[in-house]
Amino acid sequence: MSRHEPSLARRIAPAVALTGAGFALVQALDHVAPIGVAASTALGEQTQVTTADSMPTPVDTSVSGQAVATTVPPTPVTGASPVAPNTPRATNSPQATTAQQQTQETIPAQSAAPQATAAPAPTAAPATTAAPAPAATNDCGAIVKRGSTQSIEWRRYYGTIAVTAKFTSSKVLCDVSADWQANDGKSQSINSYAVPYLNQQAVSSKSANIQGVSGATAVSVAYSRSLQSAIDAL
Amino acid sequence: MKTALRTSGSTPRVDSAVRRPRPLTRPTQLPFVGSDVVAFLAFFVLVVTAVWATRGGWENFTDGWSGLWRGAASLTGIWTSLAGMTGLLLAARFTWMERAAGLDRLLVWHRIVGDTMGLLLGVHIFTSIVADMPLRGGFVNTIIDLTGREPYMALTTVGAGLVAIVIVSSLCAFREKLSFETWYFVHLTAYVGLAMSFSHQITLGSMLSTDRTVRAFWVLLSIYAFAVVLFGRWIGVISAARHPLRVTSIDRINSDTVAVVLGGRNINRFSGDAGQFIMMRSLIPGQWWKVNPSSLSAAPSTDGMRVTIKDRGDASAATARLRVGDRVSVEGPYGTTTPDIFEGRRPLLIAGGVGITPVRALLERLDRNSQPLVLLRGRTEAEIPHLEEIAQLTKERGGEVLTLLGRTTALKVNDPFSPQILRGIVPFLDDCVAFVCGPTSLTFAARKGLKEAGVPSSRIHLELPWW
Repeated sequence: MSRHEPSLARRIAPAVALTGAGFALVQALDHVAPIGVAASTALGEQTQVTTADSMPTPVDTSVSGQAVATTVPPTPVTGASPVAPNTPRATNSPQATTAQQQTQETIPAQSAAPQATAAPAPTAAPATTAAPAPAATNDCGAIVKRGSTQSIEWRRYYGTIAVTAKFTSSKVLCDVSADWQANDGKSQSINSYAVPYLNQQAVSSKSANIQGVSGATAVSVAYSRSLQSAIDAL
Repeated sequence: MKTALRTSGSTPRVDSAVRRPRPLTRPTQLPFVGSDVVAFLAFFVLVVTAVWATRGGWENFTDGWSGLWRGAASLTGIWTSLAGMTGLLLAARFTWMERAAGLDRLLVWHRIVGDTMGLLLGVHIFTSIVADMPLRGGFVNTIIDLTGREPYMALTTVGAGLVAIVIVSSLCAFREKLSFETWYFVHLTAYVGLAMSFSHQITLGSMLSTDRTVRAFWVLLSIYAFAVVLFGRWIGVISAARHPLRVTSIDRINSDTVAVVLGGRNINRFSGDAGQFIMMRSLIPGQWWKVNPSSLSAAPSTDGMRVTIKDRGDASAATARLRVGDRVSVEGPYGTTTPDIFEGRRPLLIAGGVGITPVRALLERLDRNSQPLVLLRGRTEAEIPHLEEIAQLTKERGGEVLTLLGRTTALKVNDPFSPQILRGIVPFLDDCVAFVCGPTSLTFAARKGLKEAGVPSSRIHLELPWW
């Protein structure tokens, strides 16, 4: 037999290459976006927020620290917009846009001395600033806002939802509940399954930028919009 | 072993040189037939569809166009993954399925299910996109959402791509261009593809994400299908490799055909009969990863299983290079063709090329007065292996061998298996059981001719060209 015989490596190569390329492609394609972003995209407000989404969390704390140390704003703020989705505590700074600029400028400086800025925060402005979590939870419910009633729609009308958001006196979102009504049994079961998760997501993200619940996209979008209106009403 | 002790009276070790060979245990008879396998799989599909319909899936269809798209997307999605599971089960080589339908037929069904799955997958992707377009804001946004922005959809997209590649590579036009092993390894990536597509069923299937009962049912079903295939199929491979047979003799029949006898201590682990085939894997360096199907060319006995191999592809060439003493891992014997198929009627055996080998084995097990008629087709007499053995065996059983030699284009008649010709040469056509084995064209031509000549299909047995 003088026939040329390819080896196992040669025969298995296409399959291995396919699998490898497949996993690489998954990495390239996977860019799960929060529902809040998708909602604002649908409203035509903001299109590329996903980059801000990937910012590391330490930036958050440094920004709030910066806000505490320098500005200490007692005035009501209208900056709670989806422009800076992952920097919720930065909404205490006068302008969301300046907060973002600060974000970029202050990264090296803050990482150099994070403790120094964080420590004086509670004493400097105990009542009005974005204090660390333990202090903030004490007066949860100091501000209560009810969001607009949103219809739950996904090509057809499933019902309505309206969230009631509780904030601390420093305007940090700390508790959310939702009133909803569903038109049919299936929507009812989807809502009763999804809404508790949405509440958790909202509280943990402290904003309307929530991941959403898969299989319950319609109610997630409506929830996010209603919550956004509650935050905007602050 | 005990029989060996009684007959030889010397040592419990099987020593085939001095002991008279005893036929292998016949394959276990199970009370299932091919239609039972189809019924089982159809039941499987029906139950899942019924659960889907009663748990709210049907409501979609009562909700106008958008509901129609949504319902179609969800139903085709479920059917696509059911087709995937069914395909896995068919290829898993369960004993009961194999005994009922034969591995060759199971694999033909596997291919049909695979093609169906490809179609369903296409419909599922199309309907999902159409269903989501209004809400997600246009075609492009929908594509972006469904290929990565929704959780697990990137995985699913790639998984669907892998499954599609597997299906496309199995289409005849592509399959013929690939070597068997390349195709086979690509085929195995279907496992990866199916696993990748699983998560989106749970997260995006609104029924599965909210209905705990349905979700538990579906997850368990998927785990069951995967586990059964992984353990059933791959433990079989490992076990066959752990108890290999050894090459006990090699005969070169002609320039490109060899007859190899596989025997040794482990032969007693097997049960099989004439007419069946085995999957063999030579456990020699550089060859262990290639598997080759071969029909037994003699009735299997404790002396060993003889296979006659024609040099066609890589693995066949390698098998022809075996030496005495080499270890060979054997799976099987498989196939539903055994001497039982003749049920006391007169055997009509039609074979072409290397497909003649099971005919040679079957003849050995036929009764002395069975009077078989053997029709052989080949380009030259030398191309037909074991011709003399066949002539001898047929003569002993009061039968007759007719050979038809020459290229098809050079024959005097257009179709040597036309009903008229068959009627002319087979006087007992009304009381025969036919067995056909050979190249695809011959198999189908013979089946067509036999059917047209009035032989009921229950009495036509084929070795299907599944390879």
